Amino acid sequence: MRNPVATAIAIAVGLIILVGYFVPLGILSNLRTYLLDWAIGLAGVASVVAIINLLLVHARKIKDRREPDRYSILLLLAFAATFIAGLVFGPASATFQNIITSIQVPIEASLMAVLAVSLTYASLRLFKRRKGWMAVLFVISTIIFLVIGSGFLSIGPQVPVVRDILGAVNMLPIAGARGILLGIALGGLTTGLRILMGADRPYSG
Amino acid sequence: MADIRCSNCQTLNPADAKVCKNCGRPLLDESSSWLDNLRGDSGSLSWSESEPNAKAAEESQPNEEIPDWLQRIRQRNQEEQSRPAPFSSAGESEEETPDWLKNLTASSSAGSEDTGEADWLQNLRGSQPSSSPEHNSGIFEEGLQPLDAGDGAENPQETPDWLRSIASWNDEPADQEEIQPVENPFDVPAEQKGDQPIAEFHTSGEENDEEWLSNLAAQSGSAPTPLDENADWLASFQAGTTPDESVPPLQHTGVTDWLSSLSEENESAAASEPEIENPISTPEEKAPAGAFSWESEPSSDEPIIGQESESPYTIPEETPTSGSFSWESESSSKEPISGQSDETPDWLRQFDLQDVPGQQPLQESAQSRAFESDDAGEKLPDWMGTYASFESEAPASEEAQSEPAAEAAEPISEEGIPDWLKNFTPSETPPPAEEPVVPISEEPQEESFSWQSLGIPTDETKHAAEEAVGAPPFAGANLPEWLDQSGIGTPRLDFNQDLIPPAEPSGELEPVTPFSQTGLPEWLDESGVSLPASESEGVELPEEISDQNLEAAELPSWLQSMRPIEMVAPKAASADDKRTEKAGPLAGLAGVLPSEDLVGQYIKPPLYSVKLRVSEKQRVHASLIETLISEESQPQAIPPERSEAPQRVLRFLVAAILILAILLPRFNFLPALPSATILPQELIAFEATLADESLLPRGSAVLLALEYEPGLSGEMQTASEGVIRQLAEKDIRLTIISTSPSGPILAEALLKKAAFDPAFRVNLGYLAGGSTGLQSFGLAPMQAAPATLQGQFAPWNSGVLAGISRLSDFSAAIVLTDDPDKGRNWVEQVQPSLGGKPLLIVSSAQAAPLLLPYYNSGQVQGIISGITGAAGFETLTQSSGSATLLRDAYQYGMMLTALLILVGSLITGIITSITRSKAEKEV
Repeated sequence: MRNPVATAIAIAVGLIILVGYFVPLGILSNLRTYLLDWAIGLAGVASVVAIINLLLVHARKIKDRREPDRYSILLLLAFAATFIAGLVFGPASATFQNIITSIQVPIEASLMAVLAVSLTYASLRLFKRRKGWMAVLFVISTIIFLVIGSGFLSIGPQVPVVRDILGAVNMLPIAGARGILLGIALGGLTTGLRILMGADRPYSG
Repeated sequence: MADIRCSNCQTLNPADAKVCKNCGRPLLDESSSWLDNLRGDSGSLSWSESEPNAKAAEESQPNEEIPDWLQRIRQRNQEEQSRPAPFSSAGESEEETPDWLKNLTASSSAGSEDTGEADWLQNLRGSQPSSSPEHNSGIFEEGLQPLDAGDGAENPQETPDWLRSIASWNDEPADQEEIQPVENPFDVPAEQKGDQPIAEFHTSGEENDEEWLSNLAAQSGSAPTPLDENADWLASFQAGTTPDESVPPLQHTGVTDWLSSLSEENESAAASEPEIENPISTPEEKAPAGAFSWESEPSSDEPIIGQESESPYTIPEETPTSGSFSWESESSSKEPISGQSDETPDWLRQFDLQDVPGQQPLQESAQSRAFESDDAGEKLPDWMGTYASFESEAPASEEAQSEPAAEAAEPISEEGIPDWLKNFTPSETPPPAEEPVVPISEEPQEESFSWQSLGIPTDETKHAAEEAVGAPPFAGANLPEWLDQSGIGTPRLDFNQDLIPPAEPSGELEPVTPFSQTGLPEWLDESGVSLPASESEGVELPEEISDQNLEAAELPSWLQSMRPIEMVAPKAASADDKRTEKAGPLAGLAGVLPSEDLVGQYIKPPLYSVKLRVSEKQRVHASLIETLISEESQPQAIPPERSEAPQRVLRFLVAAILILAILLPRFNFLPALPSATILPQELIAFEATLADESLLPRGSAVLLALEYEPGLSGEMQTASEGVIRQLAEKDIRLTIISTSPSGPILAEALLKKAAFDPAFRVNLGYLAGGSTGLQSFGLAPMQAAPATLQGQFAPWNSGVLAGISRLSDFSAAIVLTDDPDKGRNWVEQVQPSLGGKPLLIVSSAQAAPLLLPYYNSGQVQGIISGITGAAGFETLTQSSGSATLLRDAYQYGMMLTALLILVGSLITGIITSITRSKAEKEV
């Protein structure tokens, strides 16, 4: 059975925030500020809960007899070290920052690079499996934007045709982006309204 | 003694009883009493076992299958032959027994077999004045109607005196039970005779009858007519009883001569005698035309019994056996019984014997056989005398049985013709010639009506006439002439043609009926029934008529083909059908399935070919399937695996090329590409905003939001480094905040790389809540970010954040993000709180397209996208940074990637096409 109190609180808070956004009343602003501060605090606690859940999952993986994950130990150790280092050094410490930047940045950067290569290789395999006009179009678009994005066409003398072509070509993704953004915006608006109306209750299950 | 069965109600009464306890009728007749005396004790036993009259009367073969009781009776009769006559021994009846009868009894040495007496005689003797003539009439009601006097009470005058005299023999009261008229007129019930079975009378007593009749005849001077051995003349009446009309009228035969003689004698003696059961009596009204006349009897010399052998009433020429009555012995005189002239019953006189064929012989014989009365003064009735003539004529009659009874009867004077007899008109139909004499057998005949029993000739009888020469059925019977149907030219009664069974159908296609093979009588024999024929005949007529109007039907071809072959080509009887079985229970039968042969035969079972008949098409299909299956079973050559070495080389080569393309320009091994001359506008605007002293004066505070991940920190740092230097040159105070946990750390690294003075920045650390936090930060940044990354309180309105209490106090906000969503959040949540202050975004190349709409919408005043944007920014600011260095490598890398993709696609396409063509060629 769904909780009607949670639904009422959610609806009330949402209306206050929405109304306070449009109606610049002092009380609404203050109330809105408090509610947002509570939300921020809950979000922070949620992050802590997430970290604790992560630790517990990996700890469970270590204890699993069927498929024990040895890398979870590294994770826990790294977490512990980092946690301890952060407690010790502080987050503003250059050392801690160097540790973070020296480990986390290369790892994620490398993963990002591998992701790029992997995506490229996957696209080529897809092109081999599904040969068709869409595949050909995808390949051609990829090549064009790789060329345009490289800036190769922007070098050299300013040729009006080239500029217009580049301008037109650059506008193609923008159009798509606009459509995506509009969809996102409308979706967000619909979701908000559904929550305000009580149709969706993601909080109560 | 055994119980006595009442003749009226058929109730068993004790032997001592004289009156029936049920109906009150007297039980014992006079005849039965004297017969009992004749028979003695044995008669009581035998009488109790009396068989039905019909069975006894129909005995045609007396010597065959004589029942035990009959045998006993005969034996006793033989024994009694030596004894005096029963009449004489019977004290009671002696007084009443007429002299002629006494003589009869005396003459009969062996004693008459009581059982052999004719029923008619029995009835005569046993008839009482009170006895109803119905009994007698019942005997002849169907066959001899003219002779049936009917109710004696009604016509007392007609009751013959001789019968009355007979009735007077018995001392029994006159309340003799009324005997019910039997269906078979000759079926004299046992009670009539005093429990005397007729069969016994007929069979064993025939000889006795002949004797005493002969005695009578001898006394009367007329040759007694020997009785028929079987004395079945009565039985013939029983068997052949039909309604009056169906029976032909009494044939005028010589038998009637004696009756005629009787009639003359008894004419004057007509008296109101009680009714006597006269088997010969027939109702006057029923007398058929052509019936004999009693009157003519005396004058008639015709034999009593016609000389026709077919007549059932012919007296066979048999030597009267011992114990049997013999007319001859009594009287050889042909004179009628004169003593009985007065006793001639009127009804006898009324018989018209003119039309009766064969009457002459009967009359002649009657005259010759008329026996005289005995010493007692009582003259034998004329009929008795004529009986004597019967015997004498019996042999002659036997010979003449085959002769058609075409003798016309002498005309009889009309005086003696009774009225009822006058009504009888001789039938125009010729008398059936050669009527077959159906011997009366002891055994009961089939319970069925037979025309033969009536003497009516049928086809069968005609054929059997010749066969029955030696066995006249009524040869031994003391049938008077008027009872003798033989030689009757005209039927006594009108024939009802409907009752005559039709002739046997000529049978090509005789209907096979289940009863056709059995010995059923004609009337029951379905094969002889002409009904179907008649029906068919009757139907044919309308069909014939209708056929004229109808067209012949034409069978359709499909129906014709369905016709049984037998209809078109009747199958002739094969040899198998004609084969007669020689062994087994079916031996002698033809057309049966062979049994013995089959058992002994051994037939080799036929061999059936197992070869399958396959058509051409099926053979082709089978071959195809076989080929498919064989291919499946054949091992297929495994194609050699393609080695992965070329692929690995190619991969390494591509990797090397890419690495060189990136490293060589970094180290200036590749010529630098010229800088871009065409810069995007959002880049130019960003630079212009940042260079605008009015928007971003020197020493102003700028909010810097770091919203990218460490994975894209290389690109972001390259792209943001120029902007930070530019801000550093203007002594801008930066306030760093991030909504990602690693943002503050990355901000510090960026600022350190950009060599931004730490005194002019404050890091507010991590802002939790995502968009909510941003909204909170936008509304109240001091409450949203109260502390710094070092853990200290944020110096709002002081130090670096001096004069900053709201976001609008900042001169600009720069967002560094690689995620378009985070950029969107900042645009949506914070930009409204900036109060018109420019919001600038430095994004990666992948996020720029999604953030450009915000630039186009004016929400964002400038966007730097990726390394190229940073390089252009550096170009615009005429500074050198890492972006410029990485731009060549980036461009080379991008170009090489594009080239590799293009070349690789082309090569793959070419190789695929070549391989496909080769595969198609191979197929």
